[in-house]
Formats: sequence, C-alpha cells, structure tokens
Amino acid sequence: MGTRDTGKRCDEIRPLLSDAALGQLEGAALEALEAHLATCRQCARRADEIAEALELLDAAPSVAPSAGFDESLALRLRTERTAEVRQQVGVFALLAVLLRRARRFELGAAVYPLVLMAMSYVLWAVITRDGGYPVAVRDDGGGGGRLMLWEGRPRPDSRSQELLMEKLAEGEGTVGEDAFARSELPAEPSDLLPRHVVEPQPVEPPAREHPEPRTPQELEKWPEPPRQPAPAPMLRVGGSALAQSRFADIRTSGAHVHRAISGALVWLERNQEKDGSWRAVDARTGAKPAPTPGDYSDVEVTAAGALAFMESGFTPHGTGDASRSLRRALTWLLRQQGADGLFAPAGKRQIEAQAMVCLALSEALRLADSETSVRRFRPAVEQALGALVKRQGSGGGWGTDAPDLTIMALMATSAARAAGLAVDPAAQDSALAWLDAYRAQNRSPGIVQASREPTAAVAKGLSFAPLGRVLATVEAQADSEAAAEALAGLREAPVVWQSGECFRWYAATLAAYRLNGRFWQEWRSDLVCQIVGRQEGLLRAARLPAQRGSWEPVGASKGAGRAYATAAAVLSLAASCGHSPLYGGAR
Amino acid sequence: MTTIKSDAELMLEFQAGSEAAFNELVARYKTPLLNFFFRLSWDRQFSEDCCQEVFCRLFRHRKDYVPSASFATYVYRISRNLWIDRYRVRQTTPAPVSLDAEAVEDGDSFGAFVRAETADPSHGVEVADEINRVRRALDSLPPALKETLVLVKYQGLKYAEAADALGVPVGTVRSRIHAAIEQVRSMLEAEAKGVRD
Repeated sequence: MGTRDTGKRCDEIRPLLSDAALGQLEGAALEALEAHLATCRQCARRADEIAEALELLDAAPSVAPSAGFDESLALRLRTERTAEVRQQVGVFALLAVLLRRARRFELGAAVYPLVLMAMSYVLWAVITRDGGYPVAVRDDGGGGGRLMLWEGRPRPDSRSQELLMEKLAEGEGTVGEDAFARSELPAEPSDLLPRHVVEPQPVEPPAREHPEPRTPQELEKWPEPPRQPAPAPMLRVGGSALAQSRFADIRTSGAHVHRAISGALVWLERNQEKDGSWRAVDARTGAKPAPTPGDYSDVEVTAAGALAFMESGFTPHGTGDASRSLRRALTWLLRQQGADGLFAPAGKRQIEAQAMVCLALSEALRLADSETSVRRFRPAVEQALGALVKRQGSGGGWGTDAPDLTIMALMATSAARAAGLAVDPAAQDSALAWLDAYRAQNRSPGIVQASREPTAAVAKGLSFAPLGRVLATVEAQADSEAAAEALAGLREAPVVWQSGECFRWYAATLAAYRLNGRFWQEWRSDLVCQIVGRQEGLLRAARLPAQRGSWEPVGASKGAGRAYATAAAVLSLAASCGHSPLYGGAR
Repeated sequence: MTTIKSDAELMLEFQAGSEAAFNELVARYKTPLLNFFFRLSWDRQFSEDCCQEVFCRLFRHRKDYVPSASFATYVYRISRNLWIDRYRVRQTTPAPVSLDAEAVEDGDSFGAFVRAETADPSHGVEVADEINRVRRALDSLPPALKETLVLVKYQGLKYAEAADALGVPVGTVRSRIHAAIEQVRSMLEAEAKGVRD
C-alpha cells in the first residue's frame, strides 16, 4: 500500500478510532481498522492517545444509592398512587350523582348520555385542575405586608407549594388585585396596609425563554441562562399593630433569616397532621419510634411547632392559615392532658415534653385576647405547671444527669410567670441552687479525671448550666457574675448544629440575646450561618422537593424527626426577636 | 431454569399491573440512572432526586409505553429530558452555598466524596488528583457533548440507542463523541506540555 494510499486510508480510519475504542465497531470494519493500525504508526499513535483519554475517563467515580433511597422512592410512589386513586374515585362518584339527578329531567332517552358525558367532562376538568395558588404579600413602600398563607384560596396542591417555595426564595411575583382575606388585616385605615399584593405566578410553569431543543442545531446553540441577581427581601410587616411589631423584629434580623423562617412555617403548615399535631418520626427509619424511654413524643414535637409559630409572630386568634395551624396544634395539645396534668406517657421524655408544653401553652395564654381564650388555656397551664413542679427532685433539679432538663423546666416556670400565673419562687430558687451545686460538683478534679468519656458531656453541662440564671429571670443581668459565667460557657462550648442538640441551640440563643453586646453579634452570625445554610431548598438544593423549607434532623434529634428539627431551627432563628415570654415580650 | 425477563417484558407486565415487575426494573436501573445524573451534576443528592423522579414518571406514564424501541432508550430519553429541565432550574437558582466551610456533609462536597470513596489513605492523594482530572475533563465539555459521552461511554448505549434517546441522528452522536474525546485528548496533551515546560 503506497504512502498516498495510506494517507487517504488514514483519513477514513481516524474517525473510526473513537468508535473502536468505545466498542461501537465490529465485524469487517473492525478488522480493517486493526489491519491498518498494524501498518500505520501515526494512526497507531493516535489510537494510543485516544485510549489514554478513555482510560482517564474510566476513573470517573460512581456512586451507589444511599440507604434511604428505596424507602423515599416508595414514599413518592405511594403519593402518586394515592393521587391516581383519588381522581378515579372522584370521577365515579360524580357520574353516579349526575346519573341520579339527570333522571328528573324530561329529556329524550338519547339526550341523557350526551348530557351526562358533557357534565362529567366538565366536572372532571374542574376537580383535576390545579388548586388555587398561594398568596404572599409584599410592600414596596416600606410600610406593611405580611406573610399570609393561602388566604381565602383552595388549598394548593404540591406543585403550587413547590412554586410558593421557589417564589419565597426568589422574591418574585406580580402586582395583582387586592386578594387576601380581610379578617387578619387591620380594620382601621390608619393602620399600615399593603397597597400591593404580590401573587406568585399560577401553577402552570412560565413559558420558557428558550424552548426545549428539538434538533441538533438547536441544541448546539443552547444558550447559557443568565445569572439571576440576588433576590430582594420579600416579606415585610403588616396586619395588626401587634403583628407589625412582632414581625418587624424578624425582619430586622436579616432578609435571609426572614426567608428561612417563612419557608419553614410553610413546610410546617403543610406537614401538619389532620388532627393538628406534628409527629415524632424517626428520621432513620421513617417510622414512628417504638415507645421506649428517651424517645421523643408527638406532644413534645407539637409543642415545639406551636411555639415556633408564636415566636415568629403569629397568634392563636388570627384567621389566616398560619394562625389556624397554630390553633389546631394548641387544641390538639390541650386534648392530650391527663387528669394528673401530664401530657406525655411515662418514660417518653415525659418531663421534657411537659416543660415544652408549658412553654407553648403559657405563651398562648399570654397572647390570649379574650376571656374565652384565657379560660381555655389558664386551667391547663396551671395544672401542667403543677405536675411539672411536683416532679422536681428533692435536690431542686429535674433529672440527675445534665442540666438541660432543669433549664427547660426553669424556662417553663418563667414563661408561666410571664403569663400571669403565680409560681412558687421556692421551686425556681431550688432549681438555681441545684445548677450551682452541679457546677461546683463537676468542677472537682477528682470527678473530671475519673474517666475520659463522661468528660465531654460534663464539659457541655458545665458550659450550659450557667445559662439557667440568665434564663430564669427577666431583669437585665448583663453585669452579673452569672452573665459572665454564661458568656464564658457559650464561648468555650459553642453549640454545633450537627450535634442535633436543638433545645440547647434555642436556650443558648435566648441567653446570648439577653447578654447582648458584641458576643451576641458573633453568636447570631454563627447561628444564622449554621442554621440557615442547612435549610433544605432555600440556600441549598433540597433532597426532595417535599422537604423544601425544612431541616434534616441530625445527631441527637434524629429520633425526633424533621418537624422537630424544623421547629427548633425556627425557634433559634426567631429567638433574637424578643417575642419570647422569658423577656415579657410585647403584647 | 429461571428465565430472565427483558426490560420491555417487565414494563409490559407492569402496565398490566404487576408491581413486582416494576420493582425489578427499579433494581436494574436505579444505579445506572443514579450514575448518569451524578456524572452530569456531581451532586449525589440531586442525582438521587432525579433518579427517583424518573421512576415516578415511568409510573405515571406507564400506559403510554410502547415497546417499539429498547427500554433503555426509553428510560434514558426520560432521564435526559428531566436533566434538561433540572439543568435549567439549577442554572437559574442560586448555587447551594456552604456557609459553614468546615462542615462537610455526605454528597455536598466533592472533596468529601473523594475522601469517602478512597479506601486506602496512602493512595488518597493520587486518587483524588485523578478524579479531579476526570471531573475537569468532563466539565470542560459543552453540555451536548458531555451528555452524549456519558450515555455512550458510561451508560454503555450504542450510537443508535443514544441517538434515539437524545433525539438526534446517529451521525450527530458520532461527531459529538469524536469531538468530546478529541477535547479530552487535547486537554491531556496540554497538561503534559505544561508539565514538561
């Protein structure tokens, strides 16, 4: 074969080198290629280079499905099946109703089927249409606007909810008609009233700027989408004077905190059970945990959820969906109280649940705007508090290990006092004395050196214990010895979100807020970074669309589930707003 | 002797109502689909989400399946369309921000992934370098070339199957593959030249 002939053959052969390397060539074409490579050094060298390139690409890592993949897929498929069944049942039921009613009309026999078919089609189209879209309010003039969840609209489907989350994240919307319900708005025209209602786009996705490429030429010209500017803060304060002042505090915490809290409350409302509770679901298995000692109860999770709504500025007497969600949770909680005043069964973090419920119900009592509400909550709080104090140890503490439980109980008693209930000061004093004794005892070198393993927990307890004095009283103690110790404790052992110690986050943030000053700025900055940065779907891609707005339970809170982790995150973020009953927040 | 059913047979059984057939399809395709999305996005969580969405779409539109082409082609066509949709959203959504640079979670950081996948620490650095080179090579390709290369090289589709999945002629698939490999080869050549210099 001559040089010229080889060169010509090389031009024909070279395009086949990649095909052969990828196993796309076979038969006579492959034989011809191999024969050529045996005689042509240039093509053989090129074949080696291509092989080297493919060898590099072979090193691309592969992944295996995670442990929870099958389970989450099963969950999604179950949702799909349920939606299908509902559609079918709805259509059949309507047909049956229409058939009965059509018999009343004196029409020719041939007309009945046509009428039925037409009516069935219309009604099926109505039923299966997408639900109304959620409404959010934004003010452009620095005045009012508030988060109102689906005011006066049909409950949106999951696609609408996803779009709401996207809109909340992006701050998009169009100016539309004044479309929200009136009852949660201020009645007086002098109150700040948002003039612009921002409504997210309807459920149908917006038209694409560039249609899906259908030809190779279109695909080759597929443009890079432009980078979007950072979204402007979306929600402002509005509504009643109380709501304005309360939500303004959240707003001043920063747009990202604002957005994170909004997204979380949307998720909580959407994932509330029909009876008004939030379930403690084991994040590891997706199933309700077995009733063993130390497990979180639905009571504790629901109380945390209710408190999260109240700390964010919503009240039980509002009429929006958020207030309705809060009311349902409080109603469910009240139903769980036993004759002995306790809420959770024995052994299931009973005292923790009791303290959390006391916090939530005390706040609800403090926010009560009518005698009816006061009569509704007051007896329950009194009985709950009595049951809690009855379980105080003889030494003054609740529990014997870490100071967490005692601090929770202290916060509960302070909240009850802020709600106007008479709390025996001896209970609080003895609890504080217990915390002092805990610190003194565990600082003893003998105990610290006994073994390595308990030291970390003891060290955490030692850093947490001083917070008791800061959280137990309302008056400023910025210069007190207790405040200084608490500050030192928080600096030594900052809470890490991955630990899952949600309540510590909340309590420590409240304490840091009380201590104020430069340390509070540092704490808050760290808090926002750690918490907001881990919210699903707003700053980080959500694992599943349905989880957008929530937080994954981690560490110690895995047994409590996603609702608890989300409520705890909201509590921590909103703690800086001063609504907490521990500070006698504004009514 | 147990007869192994083809993917198309399983899909037809699933159309007829057999959930076991669908579960078998999931078992066969979940890892390949996961890796398809992973090599396009390098985001494990995102990839799992996309992979599950593909199965949901298979479920939702099971009545529409017609066994005219290979099932793999059908699945990858769905996957590729989903990828186009999600790619657009990812480009317009603010990139996930790791506000806490020290906290590395599984799947959130490519570096963490590399560390997790490296069994022997003594080879960890080499493996990490190699994986980073691969990632650079793949990410340097235009989207059209990259998805074609992933389908053919990693998912093992023939040119005709890839063409069907992408909705382009076979010749376009060939030219894209050539262009992709040429680009990777040029990258290697440039790196080698840079080392020598």
